[in-house]
Amino acid sequence: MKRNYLIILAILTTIIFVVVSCASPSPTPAPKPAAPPATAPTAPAAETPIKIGALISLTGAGQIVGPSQKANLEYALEQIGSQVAGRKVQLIMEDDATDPATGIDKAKKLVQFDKVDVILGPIHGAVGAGVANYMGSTTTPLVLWREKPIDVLKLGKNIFLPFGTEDGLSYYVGLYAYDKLGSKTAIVVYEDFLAGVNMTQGAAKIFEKKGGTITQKVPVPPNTMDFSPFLSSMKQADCVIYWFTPPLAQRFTAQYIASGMKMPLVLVLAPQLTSKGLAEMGEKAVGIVGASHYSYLIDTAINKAYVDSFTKKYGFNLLMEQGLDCYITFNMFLEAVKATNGDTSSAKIIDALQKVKRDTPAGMVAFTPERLGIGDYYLSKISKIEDGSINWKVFDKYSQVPLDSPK
Amino acid sequence: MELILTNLLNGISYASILFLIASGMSLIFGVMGILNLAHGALYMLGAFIGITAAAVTHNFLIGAVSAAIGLGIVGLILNYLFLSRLYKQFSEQALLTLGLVYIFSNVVTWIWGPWSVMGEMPGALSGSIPIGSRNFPIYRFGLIAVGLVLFVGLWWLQNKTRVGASIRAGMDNKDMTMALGVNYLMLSMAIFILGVAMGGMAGFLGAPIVGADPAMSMGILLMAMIVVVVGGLGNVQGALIGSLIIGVFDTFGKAYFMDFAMFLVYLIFIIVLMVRPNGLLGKKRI
Repeated sequence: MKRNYLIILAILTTIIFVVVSCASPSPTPAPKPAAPPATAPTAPAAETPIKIGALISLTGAGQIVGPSQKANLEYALEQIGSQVAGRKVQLIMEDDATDPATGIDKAKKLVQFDKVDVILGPIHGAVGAGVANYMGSTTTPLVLWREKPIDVLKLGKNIFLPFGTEDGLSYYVGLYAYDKLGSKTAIVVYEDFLAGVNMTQGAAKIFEKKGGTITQKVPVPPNTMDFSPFLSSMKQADCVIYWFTPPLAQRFTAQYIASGMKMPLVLVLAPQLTSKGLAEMGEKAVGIVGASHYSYLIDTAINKAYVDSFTKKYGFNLLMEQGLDCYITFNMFLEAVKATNGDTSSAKIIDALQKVKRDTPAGMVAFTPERLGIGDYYLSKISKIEDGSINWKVFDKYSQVPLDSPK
Repeated sequence: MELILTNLLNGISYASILFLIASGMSLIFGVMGILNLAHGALYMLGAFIGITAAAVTHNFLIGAVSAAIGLGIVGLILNYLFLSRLYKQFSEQALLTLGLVYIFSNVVTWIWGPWSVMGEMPGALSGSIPIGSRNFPIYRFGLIAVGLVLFVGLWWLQNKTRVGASIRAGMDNKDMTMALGVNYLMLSMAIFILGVAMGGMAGFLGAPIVGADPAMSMGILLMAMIVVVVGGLGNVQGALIGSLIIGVFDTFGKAYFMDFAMFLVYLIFIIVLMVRPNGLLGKKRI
């Protein structure tokens, strides 16, 4: 009886596993077999596909952006008809599970088994640091998403930081808070891990350099559910500068508003409050200011075309800045491939990547000689848009700046 | 003074959420001997089901009831198909329920997407009350009230009813209880369903404050287990005491000792385990 039960249980579990695996997006192909013996003739370069590896976050704490990342990469691939410079383009996506150890394992798999020509991503700060550390020991270029510490560029000359540093984004937020908001005192609230510290320290530094006072720093443990003790400990200041990962950003903002506190909120990275989250919070969130590299309301032809076409295919909820990073870096890499006439050997592609300058929905993007991104920072305010929705609306911009805090 | 009062109220309202989650888990483990590591995932699932029902019907009460009933059905299926066959097989229970955590997280992502949701407060409870210069959300008072009502109900069931007497007898000696004609298997199933339903409802009731997202299961489970271990297994009073201690200490700790916020609750956990390994109100098992 017990044996029969165990057999039934095993069959049921296998069926469930197969169904879920088939239904879920599955970016993981089986590892390729070992390379053929040296005596076999090698295929001409034009016949071998260009392999683009991507580390996306489909599971774990960062899974909120995974579907948008996947959609943007597939969209970018579809736009070029899976071909560039006479060669087929193959996209290999892996789930980093928002975990550094998993991210490194998947990066190794992409480099050693799949022999990709580039790795795009990952997005999460800790995963990015781990992957960059490994990739610095290879020759495969790595193009990171979102802001990362400047030190990752020292790990290898094959590492690129197109969206700049956490310090850079944070710097312009601090500048805004002092110069434009007119705040003389500020409280800094952040999720207490690497990215949280990095995302807010730039703002604090420039704020104090300008003459302001950071009256309190409130480090909040990751995965905090109830912010009330932190909210109750916050004293009065002219503004609150904060940063959290998306689920916590929404939670903190909602609880802050519910507590009745009136200090202006300045979010270091606007997309941490997603469109869906803003729709939930409604007009209560109006007035919050945030900085970003992008807004879907940017008034350029290229952005309008992207927004119209992407949302038509994937819906508005997948239109996220974090996903756009994937689209932009994919196209930047292709630009480099075109420049080398399809030659994806490491040295040539790295050299070509460094010289890329491309107009994107987020504005013009390029690299400094040190492989740091040059682009635009936008300041946005949560507003009621013309169509009645609540979303980020751009009101100011820092144009074509190296995306790091000025030294 | 107003700061202390605000934090005390915050701590008690947080303890209410913890009590709603942990009381179910405590009963399930205490009565059935089932280590349900999927309790956090069931909390999460309840939040999503309840929020969806409330959004469709524009009725908070229907949302709460839907969360409870929905999770009750899930609990019935889980117990009937799997858990009732794994009595006292803790390793197997742990493996199975851990697997269920991943399944539920993926099912929620599949159906509702990877987004976090906040849940809407009912209109009557959506304001705040001034306490000195600070405002305290009325909804948190509602949570405290719900926690109290539930505690009284469960205490009455446990201590003043024949059913409760059978449960307590079964926890002490299951074989003897069954030999006396009590259908303990049916009773256990009912307790399991009740525990899971409470966890699901806790998810919905907590959502306007703490939100819900597919990746939150393990965090919830950890807090629930700490409360259950601190309070002691298998009784409602233990769950209440554990919730209050953890809720209040965690809140005050975060408010006044921010640098130690990350591990303060574990410190309490360790101290209680060293002093009373069965929990504050737990009984030593034969």
